Amino acid sequence: MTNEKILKLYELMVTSRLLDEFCENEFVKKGVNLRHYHSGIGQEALSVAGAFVLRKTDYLYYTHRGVGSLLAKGVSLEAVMRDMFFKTGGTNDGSGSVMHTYAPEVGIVGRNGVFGSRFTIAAGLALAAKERKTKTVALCYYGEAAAARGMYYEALNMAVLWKLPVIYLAENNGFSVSSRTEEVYAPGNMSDMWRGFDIPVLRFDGNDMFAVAEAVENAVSRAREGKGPSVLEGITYRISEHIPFEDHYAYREEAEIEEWREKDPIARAQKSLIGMGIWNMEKEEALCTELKGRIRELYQKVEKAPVTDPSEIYRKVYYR
Amino acid sequence: MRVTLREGIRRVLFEEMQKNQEMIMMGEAFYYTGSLFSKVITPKFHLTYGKERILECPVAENGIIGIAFGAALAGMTVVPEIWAADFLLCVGNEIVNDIPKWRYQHRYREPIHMVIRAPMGLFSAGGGGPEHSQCTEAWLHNSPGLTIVAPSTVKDAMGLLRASLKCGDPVIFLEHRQVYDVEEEVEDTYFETELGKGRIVREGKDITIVAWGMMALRASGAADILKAEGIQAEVIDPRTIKPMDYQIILESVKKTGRLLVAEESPRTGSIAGEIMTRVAESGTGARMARLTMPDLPYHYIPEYEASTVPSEKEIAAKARELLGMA
Repeated sequence: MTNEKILKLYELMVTSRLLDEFCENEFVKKGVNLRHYHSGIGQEALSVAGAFVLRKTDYLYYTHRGVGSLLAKGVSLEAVMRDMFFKTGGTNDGSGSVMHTYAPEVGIVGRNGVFGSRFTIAAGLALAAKERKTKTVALCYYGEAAAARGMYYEALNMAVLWKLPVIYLAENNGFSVSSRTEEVYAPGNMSDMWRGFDIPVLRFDGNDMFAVAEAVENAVSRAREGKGPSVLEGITYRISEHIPFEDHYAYREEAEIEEWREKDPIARAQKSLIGMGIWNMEKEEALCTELKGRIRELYQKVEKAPVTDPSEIYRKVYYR
Repeated sequence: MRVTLREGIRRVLFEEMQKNQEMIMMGEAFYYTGSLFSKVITPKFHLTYGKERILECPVAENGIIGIAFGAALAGMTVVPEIWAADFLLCVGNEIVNDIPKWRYQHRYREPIHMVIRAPMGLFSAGGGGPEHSQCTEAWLHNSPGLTIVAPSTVKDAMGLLRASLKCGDPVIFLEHRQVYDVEEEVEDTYFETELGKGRIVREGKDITIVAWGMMALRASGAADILKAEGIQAEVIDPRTIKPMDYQIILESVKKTGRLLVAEESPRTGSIAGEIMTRVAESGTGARMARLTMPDLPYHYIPEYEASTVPSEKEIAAKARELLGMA
């Protein structure tokens, strides 16, 4: 990656973090229910760097947690915020939040709501790419809940059989809501069970943006060459609650959260960048000030935007 | 040309594959048999269109339908086959939750060309039993966003399949096992049949009988019996189950004043119940009845299984009852 790209990647991670902090400070901590909000704090290296290495024409299948992958794939911050706050002018006319952001111009066809079918749908996107010989790929992020369902097995079996250009990327953030990952996965992780398919299965530090980018790049190259799918698993940690107002101390201690704050992906990236001589604290401050201002400004604009018209309730069930 | 319904469907698919390079088909045991019930429809397509466009799939309905849907979201036209309509429930989440709601919750702008074919209903030889004989339209019609088609003639099957492939909405195309061998003279030209429009199978002034799939054939048989007794039954085949053509039914009922719906599925939650409710709500004051399977699973013994599905004679008897001639 060029220095320019590395800095862009870092900026996107910080943008994702600052938007989450804005949501938590301005809404969650003030007791305002931000509907369908799932904080991505602590997982930015994984969600941003994976999507960042894709081409514009590649497909991205994102998750409900965090908006980093959407930003990295090229959805504008404003569109993300309009979706997030159920306002018109975003990608889905204020009807689906960031749960259903839809931006086909950057390879995002949407997201299903019940965990599990993402694996097959992403394989279908990859099948279309293979049929058309376009050399595009599909990157499918997934979490603990989705991969516990059986669709993953069916999708992977067919993807391996047909050498589909699809990459499955686990965001192992330690939890399936309040269950520990190792309490619901027999191997104790989210990827080892797929080694029987004789495909690359790789687990890596999901809080290291360089490790994430490298792992995904390698899997993407393999897929583009027609060699089929890979399974990747980034190890990370969900710093915030599963959803706002959940009592996460019911299942974990503050000390554990603190331990992971020490491994914060953004702090680590910042340190690397400074070490490389391409970043310093003045630039950091300037970037944060600028981004915070932009988020605040955009929010003021988005807040004033209308919600979708009530007549829309009765529209768009069918195409014809 | 004179063809069976099987052959009619096969011809439409074969022609569309030729015309549309972006069309693919997939199913279980697809290369040499396809669903054993639909038999000659898909075998050997791969010899003409290649294994890239004709996909031999494992017995994995989630895999088949999910992948088909993903390819359709990428803009391709996809026709997956499900071995038996009963197995649609294996992939119920995709068919009820994901696929029909995709447009609504994303405000999705592009057409989605996906036709899921599935053989359903009573076996020809009988005895399919509780989990292989069922008609599934009643399970699915409570899902906004779905389109459900269940033809009873060769012409309708061909025209509706072409319309389904072009309509831009996901379609569940239910092929009744007992109509596969219906043979008919059809035009050897391209024609389409509008989705959501019923057809008056035969006109009559005394009673309206609504039925689709195999029951449409039995309703016509019942109308023959009644005709010999001087009763003129009007038979309507809605052809598309969702959206249902209530208008054609209401107009007929206004004329005849009596409605009988014959349906192969169990009584509770039947589509017949919905049709009768709509007619009642319209205030026609018509006398109504339905003839369905009792609330039972199909039985494994062929004769027992067949005995639970309304016959021509039972339809005729119910019509007489409605007409006060029993």
